[in-house]
Amino acid sequence: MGLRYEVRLSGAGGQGLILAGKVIAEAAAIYDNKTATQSQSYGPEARGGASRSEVIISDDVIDYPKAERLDFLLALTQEACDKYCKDLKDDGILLVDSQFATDIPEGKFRVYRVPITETAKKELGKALVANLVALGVFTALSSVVSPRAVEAAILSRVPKGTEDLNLNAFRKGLELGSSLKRDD
Amino acid sequence: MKNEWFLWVDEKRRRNLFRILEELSVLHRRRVDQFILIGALSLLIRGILRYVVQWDMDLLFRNEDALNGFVAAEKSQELRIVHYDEQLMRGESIASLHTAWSFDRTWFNVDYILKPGMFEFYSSSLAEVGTYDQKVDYENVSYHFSLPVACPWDIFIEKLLSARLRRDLEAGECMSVDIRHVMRLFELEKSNEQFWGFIGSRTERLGKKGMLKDNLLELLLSRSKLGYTSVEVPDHVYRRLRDL
Repeated sequence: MGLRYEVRLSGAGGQGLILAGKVIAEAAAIYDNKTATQSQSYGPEARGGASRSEVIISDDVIDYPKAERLDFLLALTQEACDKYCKDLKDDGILLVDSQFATDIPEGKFRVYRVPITETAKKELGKALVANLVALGVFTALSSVVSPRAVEAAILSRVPKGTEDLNLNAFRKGLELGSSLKRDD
Repeated sequence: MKNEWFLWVDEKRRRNLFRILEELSVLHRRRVDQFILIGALSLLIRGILRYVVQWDMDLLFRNEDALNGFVAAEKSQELRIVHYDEQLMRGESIASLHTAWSFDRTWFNVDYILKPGMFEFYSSSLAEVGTYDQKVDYENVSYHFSLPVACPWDIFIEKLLSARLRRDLEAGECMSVDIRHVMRLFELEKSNEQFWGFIGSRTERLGKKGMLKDNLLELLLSRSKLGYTSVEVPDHVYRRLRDL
């Protein structure tokens, strides 16, 4: 059986998690020539409440498009961390925004704490691009999609003139993720 | 086939999409007036959008009974439908049920949507625009669609009046899908007198002409910040907006 990699991006509405999920799915399916599904599970206009986006990536067909045992969980809030950690596989990866999720439930998964929102604010001047910083960290830690494919997917979604800000946010995350991986 | 809309759909998922559109055409024939295809995919099919993304499908229903009737309606045996939501998710101004459809082990997201008053809004234009009919020959198979696909100018209005676009505008969200669609439609239609006449009369009937003018004006004035520096806004557009 081929690769089946399950990702959940979770946090609050308005954090760009649905968009980040779409970018991952497009990177895998369109630019890395894999198969991917992406889903969201709340009303499209919901903001402020909980938000969740899931992506499944495979190098074969995807028989069932819903995530069941997560390989990767991004939690941008404590609430998301508390709620979804139990869905991680034993060797799965938990990535948290260290500013907002400080209390990590016990489990056999690997935990990475990264100041995602703070990096977006301080180093890129815009908290709005925290989702792209997270996307960079995800890409480095998971190695399930190529950085080149994610960059292509980002570029296909941004208007000309904003490429630098968005790609810089992604690359900053990539850098943070790569250094964490080196430290392992 | 050179300029066909489906060339902007990932090749791996194209056949699945064609079969889904055929299935929906059958359902539409059986229960006329039941749903309208809105959102990005409708803009793609109508020839407005031209880029490759992982397209989703939004089906707008008249009311909850129509949505439930659609869920319960008999469909092709080869079609697999997985529900992402356990029940209809109700937001402030929208209710939705997210599903994925598959005929061939690739999956296409199909979202069932309820928005108060919007079905009537879209269907009144459809009476003039008519059903979207197309026959596609693809890899030696013929597909035929006959579906209620929203009028793009109505999508322009709905998006400009939406709370989501307002929030994206305030946040300076350059990756906003709604802003992207509005700017694309604006670029195509900005010099079309018929378009502005349509926008004026439709928003007048909705009692939201002022809101549309304000939002569009703000969007056009913020376009550089949002990454749309290349979109030219001729003086006549500002005049047109003032007189709208």
